[in-house]
Amino acid sequence: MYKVKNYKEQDDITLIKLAQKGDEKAFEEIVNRYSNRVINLAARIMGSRDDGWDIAQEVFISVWRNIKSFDSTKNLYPWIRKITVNACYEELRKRGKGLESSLDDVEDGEPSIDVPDEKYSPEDTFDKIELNEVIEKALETLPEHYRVTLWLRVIENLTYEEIAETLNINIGTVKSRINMARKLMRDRLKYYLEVKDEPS
Amino acid sequence: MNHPSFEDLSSFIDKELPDWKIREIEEHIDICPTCRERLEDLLLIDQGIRASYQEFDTQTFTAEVLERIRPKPVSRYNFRLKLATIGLAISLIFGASLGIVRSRYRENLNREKQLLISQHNIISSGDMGVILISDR
Ligand SMILES: [Zn+2]
Repeated sequence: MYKVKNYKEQDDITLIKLAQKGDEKAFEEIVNRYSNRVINLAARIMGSRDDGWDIAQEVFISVWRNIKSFDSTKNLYPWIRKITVNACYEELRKRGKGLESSLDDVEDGEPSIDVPDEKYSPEDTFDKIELNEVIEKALETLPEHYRVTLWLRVIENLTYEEIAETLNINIGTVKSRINMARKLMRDRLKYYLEVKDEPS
Repeated sequence: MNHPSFEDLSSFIDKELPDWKIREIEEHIDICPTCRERLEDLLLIDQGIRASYQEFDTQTFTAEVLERIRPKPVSRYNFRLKLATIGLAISLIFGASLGIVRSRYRENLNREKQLLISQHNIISSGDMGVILISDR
């Protein structure tokens, strides 16, 4: 095995090949490279940072154990992302949550939660709470299947087709979930969005 | 063109519409302040979602993952501890059994001794009048 001096400079393919030969340093660089995205994604699906952290750990352990069978001609991160999504849904299923929502087919159906949370009622003045903070809180209150679909679109920048593939659902469902997620977000943020338009 | 639907605006910002439709919406937005505002709200929401992306302590995270994939020295210590416990248990059992065997052996020895003495007494007081002198 040839010695690599700077793992940070290596591309994914090189790192995969080295990790497949048992090079821990190469694997370490893979973890460094993708852990933040994986923790963020898992935390969003699970609705908890701690759970996101724990599941992301399991994801990378699984990556290490299965790296030998990974086809190095393919992109690494989509594989890791898929493992992450599956691990989260598996955990939610174990906890008795999220199964029905991951298997749903809400083409034009009403969202399961459509009552804005009390916390987001316009009691507080706009300048007290940053809009981004409110948006994050609104995102947290979305049903998990809307939240994850919107996250994959906005943060992971996936096309509807790629989202469909990642979540094992059809493109129509992806589209309707994203529409519904945005509608819910807009409704919950109505007050704040109106305030930002008013001249101060 | 009529005001585009919410779904169309959503797909528009995701670039998930055919080119002709994208052009149509772009032209409409240029002349319709209402739709421009609707679109801005959607873009603002996306921007807020992007802002919610966090930076985690990935150094600690990576260190924890690596520790979990490596053979742990802690478990080796546990193995040694287990080995010592088993060794101790074996020697205790061995010691206890040795003690029991020894006490049984002594009991048997005493019993045999008593038997010999009583036999000696019978013989020395027998009809034959022969006097056997014990060596004890
Ligand atoms: Zn319009």
